[in-house]
Amino acid sequence: MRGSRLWFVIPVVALLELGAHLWISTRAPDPTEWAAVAAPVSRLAGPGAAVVVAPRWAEPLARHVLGDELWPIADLARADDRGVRRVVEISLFGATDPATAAWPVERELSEGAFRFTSRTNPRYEPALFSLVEAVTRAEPNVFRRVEGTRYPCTWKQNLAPSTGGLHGHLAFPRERYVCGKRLDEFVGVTLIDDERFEPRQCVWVHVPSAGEQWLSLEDVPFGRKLELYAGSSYFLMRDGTSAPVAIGVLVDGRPAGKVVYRDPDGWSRFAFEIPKSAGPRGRLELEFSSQQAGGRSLCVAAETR
Amino acid sequence: MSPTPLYPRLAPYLGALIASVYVVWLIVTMSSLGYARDEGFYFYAARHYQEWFEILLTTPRRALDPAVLDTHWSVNHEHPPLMKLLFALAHAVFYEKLAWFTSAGTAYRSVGALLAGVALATVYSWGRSVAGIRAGVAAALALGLMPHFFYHAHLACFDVPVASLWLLSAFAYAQAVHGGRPRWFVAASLLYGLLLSTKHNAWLLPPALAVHLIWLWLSGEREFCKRSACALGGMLLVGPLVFFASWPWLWHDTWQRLGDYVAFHANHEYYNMEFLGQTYHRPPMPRLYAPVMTIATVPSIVLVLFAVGLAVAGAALGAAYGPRLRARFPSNDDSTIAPVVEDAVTHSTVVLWCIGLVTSYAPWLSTDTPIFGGTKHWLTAYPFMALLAGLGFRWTLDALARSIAAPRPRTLASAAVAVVIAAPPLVMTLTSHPFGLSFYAPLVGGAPGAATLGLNRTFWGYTTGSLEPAVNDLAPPGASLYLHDTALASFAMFERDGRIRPDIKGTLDIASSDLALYHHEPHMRRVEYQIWSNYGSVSPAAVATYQGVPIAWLYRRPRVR
Repeated sequence: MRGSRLWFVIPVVALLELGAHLWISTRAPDPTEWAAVAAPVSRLAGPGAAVVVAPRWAEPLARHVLGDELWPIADLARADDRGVRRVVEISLFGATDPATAAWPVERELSEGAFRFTSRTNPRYEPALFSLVEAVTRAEPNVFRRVEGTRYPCTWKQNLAPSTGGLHGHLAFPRERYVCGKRLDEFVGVTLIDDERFEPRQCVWVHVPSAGEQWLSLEDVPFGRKLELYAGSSYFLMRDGTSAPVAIGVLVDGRPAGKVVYRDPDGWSRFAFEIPKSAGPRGRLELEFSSQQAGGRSLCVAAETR
Repeated sequence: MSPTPLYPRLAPYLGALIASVYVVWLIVTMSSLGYARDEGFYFYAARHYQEWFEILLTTPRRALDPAVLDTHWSVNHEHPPLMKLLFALAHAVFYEKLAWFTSAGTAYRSVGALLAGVALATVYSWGRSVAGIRAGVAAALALGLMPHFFYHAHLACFDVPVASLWLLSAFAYAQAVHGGRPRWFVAASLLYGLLLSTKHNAWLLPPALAVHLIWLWLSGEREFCKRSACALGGMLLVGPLVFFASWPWLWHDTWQRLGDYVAFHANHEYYNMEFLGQTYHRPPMPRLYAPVMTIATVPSIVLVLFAVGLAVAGAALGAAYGPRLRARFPSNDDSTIAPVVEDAVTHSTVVLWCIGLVTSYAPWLSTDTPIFGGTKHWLTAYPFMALLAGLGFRWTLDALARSIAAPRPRTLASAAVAVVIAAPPLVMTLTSHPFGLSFYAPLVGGAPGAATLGLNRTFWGYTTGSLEPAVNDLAPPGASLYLHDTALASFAMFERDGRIRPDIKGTLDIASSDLALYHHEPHMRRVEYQIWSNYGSVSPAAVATYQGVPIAWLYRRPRVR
């Protein structure tokens, strides 16, 4: 065959591959190096700081060494980044978190295999109110309304939690508003997998097929706008066969808007202007309805800013 | 062609030697590899089949009663029985009777290891017959030192066995066609029956051989063509009879059950699989999946040798059969093609290898073919790839030999090059264990590069094995362990082998568990979120990593800390 003098390319390829394999196998930080990550993160993180890891796949190792105090569920599964004042990025192999790469750098330090960067959020808008936190504190008045009659849901604090495992339902929490006989007929805080399989902490709302599901909150700090987020477990609902959910927002008893959520939309954000006529605080009501036979679930978060 | 003079006395035994070393290597590394999801189902089926044979030996008439047949053979009837029968036999003989193995799981798994050895020995023998000892050895090593093949060779599953029997059937067919001896016609027919009784990949072999027959006819090899038709006819006639005889599930309601079996695989469910950052769970599946995953997981040096071997074979075939191409390869060329691929038998053999390779990949040309099993789906292609890599290796050494005139430096250089070429696959295979499915070649950046690219990190829940020490250390007395993707029957084998503390019980209910395993796949993250939500913690107690990439991790319920 012509080019037979090129035989030497083959051992060169072998040597390159061997060298590359050995380099890849040994360059990752070892457990001792990972264990040292908590101290610099604590130094850089202040109030309102979130943690990000680049590359993303290393995140479980960071969670392992940082623990729940430095990296709580609420931070990991936030509705979006606007409520985050700053992030502390743990970077290895020179990677950068694409979502926060453009944020202005506050401080940067390198220790061992890691680079730690704190960045400030240029679009930081603190939330005045969080529906997830309100439901955790059992603040809403939760009820169903069927043909004008109200059926209250009951707040239970010590129910048996339930998890669906590999192919079943999401985690049903110990503390939840029970709205019906079926296990899934409740309102309570859980986590869903969004369309990118990312976590979102939100309020599970079972929407009945007849009537509406209501959440009513008093003395809510309003600000300028209400941001509503809605989603469902992508794994369970990605085929999009369930009927949509109509979500109505009422501020001090007056309609502020109505939107329709469809499963294929994924984790969706809807913004509602708070009417100028509203005071700084007042009543916020959310109304959910669907034509789905047997009802359906939806997971929502809401924040005012 | 005549074999090269290197180690001629050792030559007939070298394949067996390589195979034996490989089988021993597999056996000694088995206890450090966790049990995969499907293995649990096959252990369970093997036990049921073994029980049926016990009934058959004591009360034959009762064993043949349709109700009794169905009780035992309905288990895992979506797959044919041969391997499960062999698993049961190995367990009964190697573990229960001879006590060669102290682990029941290793006894079940020994079948796959032995068949991997058979594959290596066959590859060596076939490669040697075409291009000499060095090509045979290189081909056997190229196959055995593919990290994904090495991983699958550990399992009590069907993928390495079907690859081995595919190869063996094709080898017997080739012997029948090229040698014409009746025993090879019989062997090919029987082996095809065993292949049918191993896994449904067997359905692809007759079309592949039919293409070979057509090629023989077109190339004017009339005698080979007749023998090919006879061999193929025998395989199609005898194979199904062996298949039927081996599978008592088919002994009544035969056509209905046969139809169900075919329909199950023709309309297989689409499980989830991540590829380049996207999780596929329904058609269209990506056509690039099979080629990209092959390039990403087979050592690049093997792929380079394969490409060289393919070029050598292609050029030789072109020179022999394409007048136009012949003009481009004049006889006074200092080519190494002629010594490697020179006569009708080797031409026919090399064409058969190429057909075997292409046929094994062919289903993934369709976007309807599921991809959930990763590289294991086309494992039948790898022996043929290895054989062509053997040709490439032979070409490399021949080319080297021509460039160094002095005999001693030439020998030393050849040995050095052989070692250099063998080193990367050997080191990669050694270091891939026990994370075989997480292995990716340096070409894509290894496991870190693959994780960044969004290629599957693990599946089948076998990485529970890597978290064994953490589970045993961290579990409180009488703890309940959520198994995630590890099947209960697979976990039962961990318990039976004494790999997990006896007081730890497996469960599929997160809410009632004290510890929870999580095997990472993007679509599985909802399971991790259930753990976070139920445990009130996002912080794993232990993380199993490969090349620094988290593969599986363990949560411990905070109240027991």
